[in-house]
Amino acid sequence: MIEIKDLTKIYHSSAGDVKALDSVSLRVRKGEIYGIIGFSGAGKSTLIRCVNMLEKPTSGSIKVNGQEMTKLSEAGLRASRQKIGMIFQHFNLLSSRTVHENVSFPLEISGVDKETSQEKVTKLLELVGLTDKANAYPSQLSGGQKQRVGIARALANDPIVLLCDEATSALDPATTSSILELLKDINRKLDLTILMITHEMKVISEICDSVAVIEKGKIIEAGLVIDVFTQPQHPTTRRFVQTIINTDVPDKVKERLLEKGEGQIIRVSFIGDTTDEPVISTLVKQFDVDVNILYGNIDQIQDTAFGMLIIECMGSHISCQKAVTYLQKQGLRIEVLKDV
Amino acid sequence: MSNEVLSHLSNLSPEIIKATWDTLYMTIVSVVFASVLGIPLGVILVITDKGHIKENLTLNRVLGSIVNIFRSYPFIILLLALGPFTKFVVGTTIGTTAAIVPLTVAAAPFVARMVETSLKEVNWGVVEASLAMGASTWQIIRKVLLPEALPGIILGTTITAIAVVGYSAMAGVVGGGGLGDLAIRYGYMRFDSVVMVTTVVILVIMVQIMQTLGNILAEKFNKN
Repeated sequence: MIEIKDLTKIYHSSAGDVKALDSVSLRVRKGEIYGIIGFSGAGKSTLIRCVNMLEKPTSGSIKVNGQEMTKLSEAGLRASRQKIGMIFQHFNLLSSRTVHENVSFPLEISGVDKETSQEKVTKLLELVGLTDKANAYPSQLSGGQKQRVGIARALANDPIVLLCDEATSALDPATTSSILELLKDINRKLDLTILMITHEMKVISEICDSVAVIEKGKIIEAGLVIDVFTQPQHPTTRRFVQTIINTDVPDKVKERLLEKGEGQIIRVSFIGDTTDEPVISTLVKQFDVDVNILYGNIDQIQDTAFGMLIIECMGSHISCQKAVTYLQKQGLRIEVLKDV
Repeated sequence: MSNEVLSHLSNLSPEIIKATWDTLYMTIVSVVFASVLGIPLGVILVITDKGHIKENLTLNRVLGSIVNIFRSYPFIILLLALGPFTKFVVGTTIGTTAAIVPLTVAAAPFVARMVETSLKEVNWGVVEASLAMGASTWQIIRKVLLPEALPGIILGTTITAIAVVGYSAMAGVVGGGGLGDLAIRYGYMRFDSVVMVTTVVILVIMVQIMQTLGNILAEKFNKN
């Protein structure tokens, strides 16, 4: 649905050129929610704004539904933009218009007649749960309600793609969850492709199917969310994953462990329904090791359970090695964090 | 008030009423024309500015300089200097209607700058959201910039109208009449303090009413 190839954006300034995007390529499939995560200044905002040409790329290609965006005429671009919805961090509602009038605004732009517009707006307000606020002004709404108006407005012209520019970054955690739920709901009901940028890993884990991590204008890692979460490759990705899942033992603790003897600190991860065997007790019974559980947690990334256990495995090097091999045979992912 | 003062005032009342009407007429008509010229000018100054929807720095600087030149002219000079132009537009250089031409020329750049300031206050995010929806330049001006800036534009117009009331006092130079002219001819030249005080009181009331109306209207359109 969205295909970005070798996208480069250079800002020229008196202080020199800044490469905001450096040959970025990515592909968003129809009907999926694709998240782009990065720290501020990583280029994610520039990237999403290139998709609807709010930023003109220096080079590269962007195709939305097969349409090359970089080569459109002004009129062609306006027509294409009407089919690409966008929501914003600060909502960007018209303060002089009521909720109803804000949602009908894109319909006025595309020249939809009054009656159809009226009907459409009523339906959209129902979809986002704001029917009772139709005649309120944005200043009378809470942040979450404002974003719901933003979403209704973005959906007015039946877009083929929805772009979310840090859509939940100005909201509190509870409101964030409700907005994310709404987006997921819309994604399912309308089979709408969503491209979102965020700096919150929680957003990615709650609703995205795929994720790309961007740093210094480059995509450093991309893939299905579940894979990136369970096997982050790049240090930056790991930092993001750690913001919501603790995957490491604090250094101070790690230092103190195994001070008195031989053994290993092992991280065991599992995805989905794994073994029914009581692996830990088997470990103790069958191998000459003692096991001490340091930390464990289980999470759900969308519909897949994903858990992790950090254990201290005390025993000779050979026993530990055998234990690790046993665990791997059970379909678990093993990482040795410390080996003494 | 003594009977003497009252009878003096009643003798002069036709003149006072006519002068009040002349001032109102000059102010209202020239503010209307100044808005017709100044609002589009203000819009162009904003949208051609750097980074805005129709960036055109050459046009922006040329218009900006013209506005500045007209705004730096002392009004009394403008009033006389525009004589031939006034004759061309309204067919005469004297009278109330003739005074409207220089008043308009003086007020239009004023309006333009006021509109420019108000439009620059409009949240850029809203403009960007409209661009993202595929709005045309004209749609953004008419449906976004002007409605969002309306309270500011109303207040700016009020300030302009009050300034024009002040300028119109000089209209007497071209036989334009009005309260200022009355105050100069009777109050100042004939040492008639009754007329002087009366015209000043009327002007004060007029300005108060204008400002109050402007505030009420601006508040009505302010949805923040």
